[in-house]
Amino acid sequence: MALATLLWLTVEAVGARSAGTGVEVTAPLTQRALAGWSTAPLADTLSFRFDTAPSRLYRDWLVALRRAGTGIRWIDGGIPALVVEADRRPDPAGVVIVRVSGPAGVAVRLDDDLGALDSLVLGSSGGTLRLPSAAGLVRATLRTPARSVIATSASGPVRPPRHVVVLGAAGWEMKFVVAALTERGWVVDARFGVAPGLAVTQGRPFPLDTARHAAVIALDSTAASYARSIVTFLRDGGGALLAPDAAKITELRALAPGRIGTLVRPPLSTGGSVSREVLALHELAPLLDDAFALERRGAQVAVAVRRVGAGRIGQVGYRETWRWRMAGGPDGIAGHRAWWAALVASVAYDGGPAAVGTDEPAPRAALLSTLGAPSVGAAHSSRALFPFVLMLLIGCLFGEWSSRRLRGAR
Amino acid sequence: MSEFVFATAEYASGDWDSAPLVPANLIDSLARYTSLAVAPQGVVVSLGSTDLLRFPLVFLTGHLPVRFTTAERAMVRTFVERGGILFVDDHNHDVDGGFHRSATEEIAQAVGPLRQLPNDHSLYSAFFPFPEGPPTTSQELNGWGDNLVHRYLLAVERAGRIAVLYSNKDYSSEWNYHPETKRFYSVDNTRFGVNIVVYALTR
Repeated sequence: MALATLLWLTVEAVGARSAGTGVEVTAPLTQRALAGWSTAPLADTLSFRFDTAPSRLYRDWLVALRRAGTGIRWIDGGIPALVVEADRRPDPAGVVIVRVSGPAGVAVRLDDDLGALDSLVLGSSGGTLRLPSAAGLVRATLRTPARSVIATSASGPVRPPRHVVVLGAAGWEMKFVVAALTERGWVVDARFGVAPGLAVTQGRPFPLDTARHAAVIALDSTAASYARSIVTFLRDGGGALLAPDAAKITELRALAPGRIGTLVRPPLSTGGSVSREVLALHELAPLLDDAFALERRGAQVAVAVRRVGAGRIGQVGYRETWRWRMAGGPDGIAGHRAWWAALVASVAYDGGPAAVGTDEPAPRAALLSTLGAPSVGAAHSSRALFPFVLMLLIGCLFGEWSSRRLRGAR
Repeated sequence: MSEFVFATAEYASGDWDSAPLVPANLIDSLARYTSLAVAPQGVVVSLGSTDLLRFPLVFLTGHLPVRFTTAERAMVRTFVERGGILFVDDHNHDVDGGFHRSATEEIAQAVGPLRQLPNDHSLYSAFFPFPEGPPTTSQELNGWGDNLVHRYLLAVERAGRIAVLYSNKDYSSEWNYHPETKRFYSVDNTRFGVNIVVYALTR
């Protein structure tokens, strides 16, 4: 058996030699070295062992070398999988949500261009931080005794706030939705219907235009006159939120994420504070196949969203959310305000994609994506096996010789 | 769409129910002139109860001195902070009567001092136009009470909106009649009440 293995190693070595020369690069990867290999190839195949993921520049350079004919192989030196995503919400309050994924139990430090932001210990499903602001690149750094990995994600540019349009009949719901968004920092253009053909207008709600407006909220059937404008606005990339009565408008019902179900009114104890759990709710059911439930109350879908054209449409099942603000205990106002702001942020047009930056949100994944799967180092391992197999062979021969020599002695 | 419910404040001191026909009269006007969903009946709500927070516009009137209890004062403060609007009318039409002195003191303690509301405020154009400011009442014109025509209303404003609206004009007397009687008026004198409600619902 040992003889057969030795024979295989010899054949493989001869085969490898006939396939071309291979060099194991042990020196750190540098721009100078890459430039040298680009003009004067060092070998037919270059092998690297990466303990940390090379930068985007080096990765792309290695891909270019491969396409120019140099074989590129790499061995995974144990690069931890770390992913960071910084998501600046279209919210005047400046919310940036940072999601980090990586090995469970490790501590990750977060920085932006201005300095340290925070740190968190990752759970089995990563970790999420909600930050009031972030500047430039958000860096997640994972340090282990052996190595450190940095993943970066652009937090996105701070854009001048667009306006939000609120349409509905004059009433407490409309008044307090406008108040909540205004307090949050949105510029609100509103049309309060007060009588047939008569409305109290705040700002300039029409024409709906993504150049000016981020989202439109339709609270009731008085938005029917503007349904076509809302549909066009959605298809152009704008956002829309529909309260239960607005979702019954024919043109909007066709686009709404779900159907309006039966009304459920949980019992409210006398004198008790009002929370979202006790608001009257129309269950949104069934949802369309491409709709996504944003919020559930028990088993009932309370808020859902879906894409329409380039925009997003959200549907709210709650009625009279103003009661939460007025009678919602000490946190009622803040809760109502933050909830409506989050709803708007989930559909609002944020001015299109940010410019392509120099971020590196998932270094290991990017390495795998550009250079392919790592080698297990077969050539190196077979070469490393050679002395052991040789020793085994000598041992076997010595055993055989001893056996024959000692056979007569027994 | 939820209905607007006209609420009258019941408070521990004084005569809170001195103008019992005002709610029905204003409800009639709202139904007559606007498309707002309005509950056909008004409600009475205790000023010191958390039920106050179910009605973001509350009407308070009376002739007698007003002294809020601790609970009433705290609830009025909460009500205003949450976005409610309290409409207070002096049923005496006095500039320095017992209701006026005590009510303005109590409002100052609970919410803040009252200030003159300019006559070009958006309240006066919220539905019907009142370019001259608050409409005069027959009580003022007939020389009853303090024999004065009050040129301004008073208000406490919060974040650019009226939180407490205070009137010495005695709209409580002016509007305290059966809605059917409106047909005898050449101009409906409750129109300003519609402005107050529309303002409360839109600002």
